[in-house]
Amino acid sequence: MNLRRLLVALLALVLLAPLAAGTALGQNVDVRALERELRCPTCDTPLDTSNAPVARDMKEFIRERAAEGWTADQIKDALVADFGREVLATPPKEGFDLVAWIVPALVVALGLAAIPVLTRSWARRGRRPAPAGADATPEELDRLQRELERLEDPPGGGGAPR
Amino acid sequence: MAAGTIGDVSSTDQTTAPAPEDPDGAPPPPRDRRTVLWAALTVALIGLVAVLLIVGLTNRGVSTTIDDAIARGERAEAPEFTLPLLVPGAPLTAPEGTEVSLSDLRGRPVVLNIWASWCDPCKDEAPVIRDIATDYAPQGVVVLGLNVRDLSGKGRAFAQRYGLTFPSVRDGEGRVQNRFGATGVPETFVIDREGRVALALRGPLVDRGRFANVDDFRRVLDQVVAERPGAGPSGGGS
Repeated sequence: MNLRRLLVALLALVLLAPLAAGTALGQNVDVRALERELRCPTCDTPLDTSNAPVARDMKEFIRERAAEGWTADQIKDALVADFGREVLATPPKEGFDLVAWIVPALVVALGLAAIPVLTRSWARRGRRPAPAGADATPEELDRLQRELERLEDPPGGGGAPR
Repeated sequence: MAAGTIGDVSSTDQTTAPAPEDPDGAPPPPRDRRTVLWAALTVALIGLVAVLLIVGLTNRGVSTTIDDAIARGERAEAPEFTLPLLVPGAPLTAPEGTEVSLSDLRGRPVVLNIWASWCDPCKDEAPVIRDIATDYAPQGVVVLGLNVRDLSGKGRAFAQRYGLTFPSVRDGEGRVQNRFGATGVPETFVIDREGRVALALRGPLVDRGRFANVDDFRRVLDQVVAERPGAGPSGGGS
């Protein structure tokens, strides 16, 4: 029970951490983080690692607007208006673009859900019905009994195999 | 017997009896059918991903139809576009943001100049293009700038600073630029009265020095201007 509670707490932490980071970003723009979320339109690399002329212009724009008190979302919107959605390094979490976020999560969830179902069906496939006439003869039962006894207290004394 | 009762009961209940008992052998066992279905589904999924990958990769490249046509001595249809005006100028004096289509200019020769504020050669080229706009305006030629992959504020400031008196439209995403097969900035196109590309200059217009090409450019433009509307020749190119 405790383990489950711990797991739930951890999961919640993992899921909510980006949200918390997002709100912190909105109050005081983390310029580097914002640059990582954007793409250089001429070189197709993340903005923070590109040094193309337009990338330098965009970085300057971000710093100026941040200094003027714009929020990260306002800056992003302005850049999307100028360069289109392709300046975003990741698709926005709304509308049709949600597909890019939901599908991978769905695939992972389905895969996890399939594990118990599949293992159970594979286990069932491996199980064979006992062969006909499998009832043990008295001799066999007697032998089984002897074998079990020998297992419980081996004849060699302390020399039990490890 | 005692150990086998549970299994026996359930197996007699189930309709999924093993295949050997089926003397007619008409329908395949359900498990086999399901396996086939899964295999088909998997193959279909892999095929879909492959198709998407191929489509995505082949559509990434820039178009070469314009250059191919010019190499054959023909003129390809210029890609049609509708873009917002960034810098108004004669003859497109509507306010900024007004949508302008290339087809609006049909019947007049068009010089389409791709530029960006961050492009250094564009600074040297600006007066050359401006001179062409001034010189050919009386003959009905429209010089239209295409401001690509640029901050709109920077583009506007550049137009003012470098005296771009001709109008420019905005292609921030560079979509139209790609459709013209343009890989760099600047590039300039001469579009005839029928909306076909007569010349594609993949680089800056230069008016002096070893790399001067403005005379050749003007020669093609003169030829396009001389063509009467409706009487479209098949020749052209540089």
